[in-house]
Amino acid sequence: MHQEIVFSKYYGQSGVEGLDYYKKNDAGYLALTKSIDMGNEKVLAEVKDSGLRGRGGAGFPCGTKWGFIPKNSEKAKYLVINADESEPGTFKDRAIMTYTPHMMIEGAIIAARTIDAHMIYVYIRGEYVKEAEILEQAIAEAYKAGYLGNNVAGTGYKLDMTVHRGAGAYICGEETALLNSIEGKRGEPRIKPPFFPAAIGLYGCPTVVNNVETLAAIPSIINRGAAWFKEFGPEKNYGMKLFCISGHVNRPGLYERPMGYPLMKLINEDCGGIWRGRKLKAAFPGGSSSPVLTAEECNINLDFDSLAKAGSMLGSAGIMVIDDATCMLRVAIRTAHFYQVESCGQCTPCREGSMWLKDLHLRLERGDGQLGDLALIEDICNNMDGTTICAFGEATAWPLRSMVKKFRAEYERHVTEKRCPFGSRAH
Amino acid sequence: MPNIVVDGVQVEFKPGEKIIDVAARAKNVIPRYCYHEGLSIVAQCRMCLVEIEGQKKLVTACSTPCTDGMKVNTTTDRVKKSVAGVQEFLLANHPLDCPICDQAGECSLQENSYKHGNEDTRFDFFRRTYIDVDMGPSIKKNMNRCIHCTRCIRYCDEVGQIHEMIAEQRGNNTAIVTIDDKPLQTAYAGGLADVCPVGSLTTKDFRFKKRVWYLKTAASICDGCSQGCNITVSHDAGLIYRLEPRENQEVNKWWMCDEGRYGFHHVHSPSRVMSPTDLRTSEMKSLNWSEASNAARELLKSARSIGLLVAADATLEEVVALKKSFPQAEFFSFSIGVDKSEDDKATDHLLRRKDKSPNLRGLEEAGFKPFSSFDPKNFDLCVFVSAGKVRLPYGIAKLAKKSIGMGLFFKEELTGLNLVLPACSTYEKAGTFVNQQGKKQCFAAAVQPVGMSRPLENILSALSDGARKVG
Repeated sequence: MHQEIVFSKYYGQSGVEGLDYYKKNDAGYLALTKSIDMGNEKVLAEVKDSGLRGRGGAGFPCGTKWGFIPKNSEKAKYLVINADESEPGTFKDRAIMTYTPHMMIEGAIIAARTIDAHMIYVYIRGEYVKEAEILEQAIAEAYKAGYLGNNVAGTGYKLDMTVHRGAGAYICGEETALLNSIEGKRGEPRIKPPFFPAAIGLYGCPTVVNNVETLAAIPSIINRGAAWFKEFGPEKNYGMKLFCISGHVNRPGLYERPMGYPLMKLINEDCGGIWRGRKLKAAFPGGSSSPVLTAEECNINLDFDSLAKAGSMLGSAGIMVIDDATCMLRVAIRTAHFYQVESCGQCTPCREGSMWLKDLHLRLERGDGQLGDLALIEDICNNMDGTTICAFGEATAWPLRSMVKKFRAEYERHVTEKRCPFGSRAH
Repeated sequence: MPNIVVDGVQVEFKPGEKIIDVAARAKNVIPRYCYHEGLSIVAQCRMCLVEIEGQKKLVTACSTPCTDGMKVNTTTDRVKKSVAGVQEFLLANHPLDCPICDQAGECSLQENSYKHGNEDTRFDFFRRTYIDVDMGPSIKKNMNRCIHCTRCIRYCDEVGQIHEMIAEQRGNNTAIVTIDDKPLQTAYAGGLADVCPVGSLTTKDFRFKKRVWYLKTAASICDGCSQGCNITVSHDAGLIYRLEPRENQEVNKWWMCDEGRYGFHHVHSPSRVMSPTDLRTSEMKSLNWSEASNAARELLKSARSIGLLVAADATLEEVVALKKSFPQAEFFSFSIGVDKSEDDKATDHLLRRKDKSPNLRGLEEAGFKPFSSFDPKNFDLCVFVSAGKVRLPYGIAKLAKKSIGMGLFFKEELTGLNLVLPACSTYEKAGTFVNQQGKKQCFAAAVQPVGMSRPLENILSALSDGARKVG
């Protein structure tokens, strides 16, 4: 399988985040110059041709999204960078912003010019304090070097970029909630239609919301062409990708691999297998929102389409590996607790369902549950699935439903033995 | 006109209209909580989910605009399951204290439970609890019953136009509060009880007074100011319990102010004069109606000139009767706030007017002169007509040589009057008002006249012989 390190060359090193380093070692800001020469239409065509799919979770084609921006609109246009990386098990954007912030900034400048935006907002999660500082410093460098400001790279194009820090809400990673948050409103997702912020986005204006990793991929696509980008990964799932692996493996961390990389290879070869000589029990392939995969199902390639076909999703590529000494019900409790705390409370099914699910799981873990609770969990998940404004309802329902379905016997043992077979206690 | 098909019934729509409104025209009321015609759309209760043929996901009928040829199903198993599911979620944390809840009987949650809900509950955990909160003079909040539809928040922002209610916390801990727990500032706070689909926000005025299913209603007009808001009077056994706005897009839309809403307690005031009263001697004497008519005739007989000061809440019908009974008298109108209707103006962004009487325009059209030109000394006899809420200037009767009071008087207002003939307040009679727009609005009587009060027309016709002779 063809692969090449694009993003993570300098990860873990110090002093690599500066502009000079980026220019010297990574052909920094050459893509910007090239994109100016190419003109907006060619840039858009190149990005479309590369088949780059959004790295935030939904996997929507990036070029198509940019193409939605109305050309003749008199309204201001905005580019918003979603750096609110809050999905449990995900830490890829953090690395990009810490070690190669200019890669993202360059991609953002190219994107902003392509969609004719004069303002870029970076919405960064509140807990990323250090990352926000690095980013602000990098933006200041870019201003000084003339890549941002009133005269972008000598073209006379005006472009500003500012960092907006979140206040610690998971839901603000949902793009419309994120826009509300920037506007100073409650971080609650907006109703659809409009289906894309490209029509009515930030301050009612056409807006593109892109993930950090998506934009960081833009400079290399411009520099080396769509054809080069398509050398990596299977059809419709091109490119190199940052995989975040956490959990019960010997070497957890951030791995840059081509799309479509086999999950088992990643676990066994790259991460050194399951820790303490134990066996693989299950894995979340794309953060805690993705339906869980059993050990048998883990023989799968990591790309959007393969995982969707298997009833799960690549999401943010936050892979969480679970060994066979772990009680799945405890995993479910942690998941349910997270979603109960983070629900914005706007829609009824999500607000009430997330709490109910957590209570049910806790009761099962205590050994006080009944067999009927299993069917009840499934039914509550069904009632939450597809009935809410944003995907949060599904993000809660899918993993919990998949766990009760796939590990039913383990759940039932909690009821029949009136205790946790793994000896863990509910918190 | 473009069409949509709702459950097999074809309905026309205007571009931009939402499914929920179009379906309602075909008598298909899709269940809803957060949606209110007068407020912005948030689509967050998820109760109005419907299925559109050709679309994978269910959509909310309140937020989805119609497109030509759209086929909407509201009765498929999928829709039924999702509606029952939402209903179950809403009841999960609801206290189910209907037996002591004022909303019981007119509660959306109850109605939808009967129509769409499950028969029993599967939720057996502790429910969220809060203590009741006083939200100012008008509203009491019971957060336990709240279903987080946020109608109240939007009502304050959009109708009251003061940003004073917010959702605090998030998720399951979301609480609807006023900012910093301050009392509500809006003059339209009572409307919060109307828009609240459950018993979370209730008016202190009506709280614990009556089970709603005992109430009868009458369509009436508020007599609090010249706007003439359309209202519904709820009453039982001759007592008025509450006033609520009645939709009229041209006058008051769905709303009314607190001043009007609570402006009915004078009707049942214990100090109201409820029988004809003779005050000619130092001793106050209650009369029966034939004695009272004789007393009135006596007063009228001796008068060569008569002036009538009529409070501007007399109906057009009463005006006609007065004119007929006193053909040669002079007529003056009296209103609070303004002297002439041309001085009338709006005092806020929504409904309230400077002219605090409901029919000044009607009186002026009938040729009544303004109060400023009225001098009681010019007449042998003054007749003071107080037909509703407007109070005549205190002690004005003392300036008159002789005087009769007709209408609604209170014991503390009797100084200077020689005779009082009790008549009806607005809610005890039917009639017509002309509001500030010049709109003639008829209303029905809600309750029977209190005590020995009689409709003004009846009193006048009993006097008419005497009056004609005098006139």
